[in-house]
Amino acid sequence: MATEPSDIESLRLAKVRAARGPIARRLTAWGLAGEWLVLIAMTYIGIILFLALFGFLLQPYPHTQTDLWNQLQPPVFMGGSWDNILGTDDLGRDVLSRLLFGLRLSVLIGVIGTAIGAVLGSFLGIIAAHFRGWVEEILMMLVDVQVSLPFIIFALAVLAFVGNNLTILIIVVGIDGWERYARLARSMVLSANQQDYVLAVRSLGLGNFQIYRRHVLPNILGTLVVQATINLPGVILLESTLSFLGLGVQAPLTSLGQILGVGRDYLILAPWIAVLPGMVIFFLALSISIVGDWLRDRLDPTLK
Amino acid sequence: MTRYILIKILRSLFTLWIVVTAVFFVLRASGDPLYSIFSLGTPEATLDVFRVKWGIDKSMWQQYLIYVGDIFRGDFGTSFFDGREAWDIVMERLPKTLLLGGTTFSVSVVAGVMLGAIAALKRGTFWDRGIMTAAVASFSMPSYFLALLLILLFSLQLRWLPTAGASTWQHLILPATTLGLTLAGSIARFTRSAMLEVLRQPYMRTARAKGAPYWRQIAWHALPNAAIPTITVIGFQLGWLIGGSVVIETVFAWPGAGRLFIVAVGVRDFAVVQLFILMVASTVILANLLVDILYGVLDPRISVTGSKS
Repeated sequence: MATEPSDIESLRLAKVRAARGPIARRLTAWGLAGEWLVLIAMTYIGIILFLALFGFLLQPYPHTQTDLWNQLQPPVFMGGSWDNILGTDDLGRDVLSRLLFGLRLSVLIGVIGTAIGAVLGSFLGIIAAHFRGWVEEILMMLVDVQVSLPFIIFALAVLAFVGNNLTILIIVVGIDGWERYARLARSMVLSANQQDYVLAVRSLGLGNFQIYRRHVLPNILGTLVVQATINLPGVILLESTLSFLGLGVQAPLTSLGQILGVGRDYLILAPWIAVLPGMVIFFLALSISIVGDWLRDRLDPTLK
Repeated sequence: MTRYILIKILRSLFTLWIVVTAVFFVLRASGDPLYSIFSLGTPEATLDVFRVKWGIDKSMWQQYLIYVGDIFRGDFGTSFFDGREAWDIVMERLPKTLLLGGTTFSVSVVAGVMLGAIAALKRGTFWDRGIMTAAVASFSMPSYFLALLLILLFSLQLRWLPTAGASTWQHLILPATTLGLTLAGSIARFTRSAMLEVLRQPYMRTARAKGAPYWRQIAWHALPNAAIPTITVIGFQLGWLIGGSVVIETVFAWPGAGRLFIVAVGVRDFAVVQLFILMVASTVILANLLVDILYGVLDPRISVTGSKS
């Protein structure tokens, strides 16, 4: 919403722009100067991505390895031993190892789920805008249906009745938010189809597929990617909520939400089991939201 | 106008019918519920007796026609588990959910609108940044995790508030706070951008120029205009609130309809799950319909028919 920056803001920006040195100039070029919150968020996301990709190399124990002589050991900073830096859970499993494994699965489900929703929704939106008429009517009807039922209720019902494995979970989580991309893609394609560049390439005889692939899609992609960034934290939170309730990721696999769900039963004896994964999810969702808002304001102020 | 509203109503009913039908077939496609109710090795003859009794011996289409016909007669089927009417089971849980939802909704609308307005009026200051950061944080926080943190602090450490149940008003505080924080955060965000939009308008300059006191500029000229887009958003948040209360009721063992739904889903109690989803969908559809109509009433400049195109 920053169309006319206030005096304080412009003063601050002017001060930052005056900063010298290669790093400061690079930051200014990327629009990151003075955005220390965005920088912190990006750093955190970077660390999380690194841990999700390479965390298995740092994992001290297998995430399923139990040690019943060593249950509910506190983390180092609460007086525990260095054998289990972040303590152990009710079955003596190393919390750090479980966090690293769970993190990987949570990030994986979040990213794939978001991608499914974005591709599916955008595709349907483009189809609707292209064919108009009854195709569009049906799509808008489906959007209405999706909006009328809170997604978590739909997801819980499907997972409980249809059954649950990782593939079904990813698909269900992926359906979340498709209607937002569909609406967005539909309205953008509708307006693009009226614009000169599309009319020009169409009159040159280019096929529909080529028009959408080479000309329309590159123009609307930025907005769709920003929308995906804004949706990503919601998808991660959805998976963690389902897993917390016991209907998401199933043992022996684990995700951050599932670890939290187990930790809930040991809140008094061993609060670290629940609090640590909760903090990781919270800061992850927060960081992605901050970066998403920044991206939106920078690339596409019309989205809001 | 009347024609537009009639079309809207018909469309809403059609949407509801699709939801009911989709849910019916998704649930039936999941296999025979009897196998998850009865223990393994129950003779098929016994199972057949129950199949006939519950009407699931017929083909899926027959069952569907009977189900839809029954809905029109106000019969929502019986629970497979305690044999009572699904309607009675859901209805006895509903007051608790309405109590929790109503409290949360009213408190967070008041708090959200106030905080959002303050952020907009003090734009660019510490207050603005603080409120907006808190708002983003509030909907990045998994609600169940916030619930656990609050339980840890207020129930286990300070021992001020109960952890679970719904017998006294103190029981209401923690679940309502948990649910309300997220809701207030998103309402504050929307109110802020609506207010900023309004503050830019020429009529605000006019109000200032004619010497209206500050409070009157805000309460009389700014807030009512900012309310229009905000109400739309609040209407859409209702669905979110219902979804969130399912989770929060479970965490706090709040004996409402949301917790009933989680239990019913776990034991595959068709009738209860179907009725719950039907009620949630009707509520959300009705709320959206009202928002659509209210939009035209609140802002006579936008004719309802015009806003559609």
